[in-house]
Amino acid sequence: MLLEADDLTKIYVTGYGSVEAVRGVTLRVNAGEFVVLAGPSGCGKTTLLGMLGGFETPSGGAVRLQGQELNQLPPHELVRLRRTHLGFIFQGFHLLQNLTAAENLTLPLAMRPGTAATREARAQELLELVGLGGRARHFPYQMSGGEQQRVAIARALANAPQVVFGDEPTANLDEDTTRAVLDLFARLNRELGQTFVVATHDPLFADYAGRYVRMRDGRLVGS
Amino acid sequence: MRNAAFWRFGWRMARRSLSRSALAAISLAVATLVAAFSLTIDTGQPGTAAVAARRYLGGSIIVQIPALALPGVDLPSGASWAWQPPAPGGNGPLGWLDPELAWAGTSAAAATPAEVARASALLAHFPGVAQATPVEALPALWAYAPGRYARVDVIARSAAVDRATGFASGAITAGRYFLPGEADQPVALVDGYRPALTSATDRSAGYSRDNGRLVALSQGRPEVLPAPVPAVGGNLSLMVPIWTGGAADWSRLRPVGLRVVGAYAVPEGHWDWISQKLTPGGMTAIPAGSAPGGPVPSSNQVVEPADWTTGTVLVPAGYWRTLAAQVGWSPPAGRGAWVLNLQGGLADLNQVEAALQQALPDATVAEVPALDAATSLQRDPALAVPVQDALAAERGATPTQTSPGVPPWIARLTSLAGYVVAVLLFGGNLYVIVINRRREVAALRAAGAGMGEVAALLGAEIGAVASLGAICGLAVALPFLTWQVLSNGLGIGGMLAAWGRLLAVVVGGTLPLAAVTLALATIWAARLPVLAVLRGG
Repeated sequence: MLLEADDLTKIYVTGYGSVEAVRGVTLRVNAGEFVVLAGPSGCGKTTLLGMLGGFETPSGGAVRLQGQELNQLPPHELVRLRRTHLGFIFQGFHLLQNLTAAENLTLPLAMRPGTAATREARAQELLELVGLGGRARHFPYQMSGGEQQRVAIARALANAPQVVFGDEPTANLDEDTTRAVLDLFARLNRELGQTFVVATHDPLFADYAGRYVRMRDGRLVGS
Repeated sequence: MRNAAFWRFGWRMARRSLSRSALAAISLAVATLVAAFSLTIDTGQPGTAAVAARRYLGGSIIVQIPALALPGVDLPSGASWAWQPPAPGGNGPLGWLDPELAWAGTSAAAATPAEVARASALLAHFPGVAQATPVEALPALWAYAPGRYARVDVIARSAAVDRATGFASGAITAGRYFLPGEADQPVALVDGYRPALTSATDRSAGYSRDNGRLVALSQGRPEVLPAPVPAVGGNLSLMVPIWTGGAADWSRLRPVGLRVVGAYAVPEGHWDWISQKLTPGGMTAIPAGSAPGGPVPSSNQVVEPADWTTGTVLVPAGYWRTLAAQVGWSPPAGRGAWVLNLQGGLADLNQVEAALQQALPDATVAEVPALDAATSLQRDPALAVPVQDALAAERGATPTQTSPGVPPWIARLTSLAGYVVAVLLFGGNLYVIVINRRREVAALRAAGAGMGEVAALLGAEIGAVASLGAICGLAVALPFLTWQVLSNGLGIGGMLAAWGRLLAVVVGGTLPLAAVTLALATIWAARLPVLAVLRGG
């Protein structure tokens, strides 16, 4: 088992009272799975994703990655874990606008041992993988939304993570581009065995997901 | 090593977002310029403007040269040529001399070549003076306008102040000067003393360096007389500095001119007599007619009324013999000088002059130039500098920066405030730059960047912006500062010193601020809610 969530709960306490965003979620993700967390906005998908990725501390329950309980790890270990085992893709791409596509990819690679030459080769390899081999020296603002998202996917894959989390990765894209990105996800999942856990409200994901999990009001309501 | 890559990424980001960095860079440039302004006001501090040209009404130019700093000048131990600075709470009215003289008296190696060159250049302003070498130049040079009474190449000075009148009668301690139309004859000279003002903080001294012989005097008494000074003698004159500005405030006394009261002869070879006259007790300790080597000139009694304070009489050698003959004294052969310590104010000095003229009917009394501003300025247009400007120049500030009535400390405080505001503006802009990177920082943290990498990235950008601002500011400020310093006659040495101070101010202000900004930014980045930011929150 790659990723396990047991009875996860998250309660936000605000000045106006407490909000239970995730209520007793239990989830198992095997290596090589393509899991989609689907549900309407505000159902707790992102919060669940945050806890699975170690960004949020659960109010109750536990998250284990390869048996290692995330909320027991010290901060620097969590940083190391995100650097080596996890990848993230977001709705807004969040590429560094002043860096080229290749530089955006070498940035996470620079966190690991290696020479500049190997980093550049790996960046080029990743760009080829997402079909942007000829755009290495282009800046994000010179690319379309779909291309930027593909660079973001490549960046998430840079350090060969065991699992890639996606938070509404196609929310900013039109349908054709969404399908192209989903094709890429499916291909990476199929050819590389890359594990994906993606939160979305887009029903198109249902056609590509290995497992389609529905959420409502902080709970898993069907699979 | 991993952080090095992030430094490079940060630098690239800063370079490619110059418009974002421009405001911060401009604010630092403004800060740099303000610092330069501030420094031009400050150039009057010790070590930077001690040799600033002093121009005064009356046609006199006074150049202060730090004598002890001149190469080759070797004052004997214990010989104090200059005024001592007033002690806190002391009664010294000569505080205006501080801190320059205090500095000159304690620093033996501070004179820069530029200072020496400046002194030489001013010496060259007077015919016959250019031959003086820097080594011969004494601490203070009181030069007289050409074509007037005398040309002076080396003269040290001391002075005293008459509290009652606000004037100072002073001793001109000497080196060599020349009377027009006479053969150049070196003269040693001597200092007066001021019994009325004598205190631990109110001392004067002088020395003469003539033909390699050195005589040092303190409180009007010889401290060091290593050997007879055969070269001394010849032309002596009575001179007093004229002061102004001290009637209400002693600390604001300024010399505005040099009055030549008389020019008299001194027999040669009478240094021994002079030295004894100047032993503790002074003239009054030696009864008339009892001077060693012969009777004391009777005129000694004439010029020594009890109510006089200080003065120095330098008597030309030709008249000295006349005077000596009148009193029936045959001085030994050789050269010497005769010094009369005078007491009293300026009016009394005129009485001395009259008495000497009576005693020496054949003496040529030098014309005393009027200390009237209009005539003085007509005499030498080059010296037509208003007093206020002269005082400003004296303090190292440019007249345009130190308005009359505005104390320099207010000007400095204003500049400091401007600098602080500009620096804080710079810091604020830096911080804005940093927090504008919140999405980039969040993305990096999501990708596994630790605080080290984030700090490296932000630090590179902060450093790039700070460097850009400093370079832009220095590009404007350095030429400005250079112009200010050079136009104030401070030379290359002064320019380099001012540059150094500007760089120190800029670096000293920028580096800590950038470090603080980076530290705050790193703390902020550590607390950044990564998911919320990346979701657009």
